[in-house]
Amino acid sequence: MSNDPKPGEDVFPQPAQLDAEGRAAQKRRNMWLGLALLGFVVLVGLTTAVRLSGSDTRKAEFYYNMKSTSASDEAPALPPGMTPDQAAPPPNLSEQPVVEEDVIIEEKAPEQ
Amino acid sequence: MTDAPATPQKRYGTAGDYVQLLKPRIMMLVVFTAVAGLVAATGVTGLTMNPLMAAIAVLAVALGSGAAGAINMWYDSDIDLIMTRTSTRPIPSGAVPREEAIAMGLIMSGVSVLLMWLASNWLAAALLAFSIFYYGVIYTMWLKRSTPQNIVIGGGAGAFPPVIGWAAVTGNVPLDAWILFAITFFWTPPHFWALSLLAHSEYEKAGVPMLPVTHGAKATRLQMLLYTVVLAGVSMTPLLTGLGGWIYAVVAGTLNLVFLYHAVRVWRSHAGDAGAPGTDQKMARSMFLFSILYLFLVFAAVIVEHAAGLHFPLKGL
Repeated sequence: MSNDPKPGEDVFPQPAQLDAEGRAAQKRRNMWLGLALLGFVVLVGLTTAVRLSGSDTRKAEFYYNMKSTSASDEAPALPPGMTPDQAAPPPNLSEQPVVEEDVIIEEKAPEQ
Repeated sequence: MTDAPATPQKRYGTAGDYVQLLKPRIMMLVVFTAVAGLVAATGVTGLTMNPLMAAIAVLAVALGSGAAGAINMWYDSDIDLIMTRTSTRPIPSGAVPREEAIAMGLIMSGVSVLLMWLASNWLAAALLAFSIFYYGVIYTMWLKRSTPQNIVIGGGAGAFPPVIGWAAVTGNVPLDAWILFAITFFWTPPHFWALSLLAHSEYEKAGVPMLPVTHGAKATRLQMLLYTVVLAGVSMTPLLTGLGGWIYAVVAGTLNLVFLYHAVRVWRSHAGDAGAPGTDQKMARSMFLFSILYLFLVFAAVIVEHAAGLHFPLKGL
């Protein structure tokens, strides 16, 4: 059997040998890190939930929903610096669908 | 016997060591002044913040303060090892490796700024990021070891929290917010120089150019008095803008008189001089301790007035 090092054995460092106290300290540290990460995730989740619950969905509709649900709905105020032309929906999304004129062929009444 | 620093003993850090890395006492003061800014902004402008978002914003300030503290301890670990007062800190004592301290500082910086942005607005987040940079880089890496004005200019870092708190609520930083900034800014020199009068030999040993080391204790005592006079004036300006009311006037006025008394007493003493009597050294120590109480009570007055609906402005009388 050869004593030659295995491929990569001389490249990678040997894993740290920790005593019992070191292992316990590492475990404690990992637990705190895990809790900190969990805390961060919870905080981001809470922040997102609060932000979403406080958002005005009608503002989103302002740009995309062209069908008003009721006559009492008032158009929201334009953002600063925006002109009505800029806020208007693109021509191809107009509220009144363009209906092509049908060609009506009048049938002649049968001669009597 | 030599003055060579002892090599840190290797030991395994506890959770307490990592907490110490965040400078919890400074963090408490930072959080308190940030809350004062937040509450004052609400009281003055009438704008409110979701309580949960406000709590997260305050937590972000605390994390940012801790991050700056960790970066400071990482960079200053060499001089912390030399000074007796700081030799028991987590890095020089061998409890926390330097690489872990800087990693913790940088990660916490990012997390705190991100949380602040999510909880409030980009201005508060940007101010928080700048204050961490101010303390960690401008003060710690540049000013501290290069000029005796280190804590004067560097004091700006510790003065940002009330401005951040204000910006978190309103999204802007008007004059009132900068007045709270100025109070902490002008409070910092007499506070720190009172401590450095007691520990100037340590700073000298570590090569930190604190004012008592470069210009002597007498010049420092005079500077402390002058800054206290300026602070007394600045701390009364909230009465002119309407930020402070009757309660603030009484509290700040009384505290200013006591702080000036301490400053004059220290100015006339030999505190910090070689062979100064113990009573003179005690005067500097009591001024240092009172300065902490001063800042706490001034900002407490702001909080009480605006949070408890006891704000009766003197403006316009």
